[in-house]
Amino acid sequence: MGKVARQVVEAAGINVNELLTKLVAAAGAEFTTFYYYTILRVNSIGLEGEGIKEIIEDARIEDRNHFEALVPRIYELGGKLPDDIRPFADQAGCPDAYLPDTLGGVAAERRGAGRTTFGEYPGRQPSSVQDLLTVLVEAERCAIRTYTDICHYTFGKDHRTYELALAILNEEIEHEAWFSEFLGEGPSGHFRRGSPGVSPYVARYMTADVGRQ
Amino acid sequence: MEPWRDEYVHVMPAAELAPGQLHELQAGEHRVVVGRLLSGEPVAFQALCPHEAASLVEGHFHGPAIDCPRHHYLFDVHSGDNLFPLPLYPMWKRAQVGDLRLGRFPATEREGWIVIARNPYSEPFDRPPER
Repeated sequence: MGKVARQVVEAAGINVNELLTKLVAAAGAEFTTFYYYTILRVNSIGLEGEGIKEIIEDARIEDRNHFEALVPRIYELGGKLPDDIRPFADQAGCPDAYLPDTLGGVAAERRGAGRTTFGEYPGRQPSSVQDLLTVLVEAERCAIRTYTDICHYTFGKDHRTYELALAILNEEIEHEAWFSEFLGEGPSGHFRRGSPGVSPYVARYMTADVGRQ
Repeated sequence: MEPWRDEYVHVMPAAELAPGQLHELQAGEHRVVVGRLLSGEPVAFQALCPHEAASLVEGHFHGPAIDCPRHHYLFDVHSGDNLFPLPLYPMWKRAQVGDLRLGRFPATEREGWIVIARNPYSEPFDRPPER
């Protein structure tokens, strides 16, 4: 823990325990999103699915990077991650990004209904990629609300947390725009990452050098 | 239903409620959050999130929705419907979570005051759910 680092934040008027609750919730959301995006990515298949697989991978790895970047700040401020991963997942600040019905669960069990001359083939629901993209874009929108809240909370008071939250917010905004573009909501304005999950904004906060290229 | 035939209460001066602001107060037997949308319309709803009872006065408006600060669930303040994440959940998860609906109170502005009906559109949620 950074004793003076915490004191100066408290002296600036921040309730550090409340900030830590927000940061642990954000870290939990990044960690669970990394898990769920892994499932979404492996189910992003077929002609349409392959086209979005790379950006799901970028977002997935960058969300893991966000978790890595948040953890040091939590401990610097005197906080900690929960000892048990279960309550950590329950505290996550955004809901779980489940595989949509059209790609899993009960609806997926009905997928093998398409019959051809050569037998039955598992056909994907026409809307499955749209459903997948909707889950992804809404998860990013939740992240944008999360980091906007942390930026508002720390602006002008906790400079280090503010800058970190702003860096993460920049990447979440780009993720939203990528998925939104595929939903026909207009161009993202960005080109591809140089390599998967390069985190152009957050990489400088990943002092453990985890995941950097 | 004609909510304005019911009793209503003056809860705060309209001038003290700027667009985007939220205030929590006691109205009759209910804890209520009164807010003003960016469009200028006053709205009122239950103080606790239907999901896990977080305090909604610490949330923010996103269009006509209130964004719960704890898990960022979104509720339409007019219909009470959950806008996120329930519509995205697969059937098995929706069955687990059940119906999450925000209790709302008819609200308007009269003679410089925000007034809300004593009776909600739907029964508000005042206690954490039993899980």
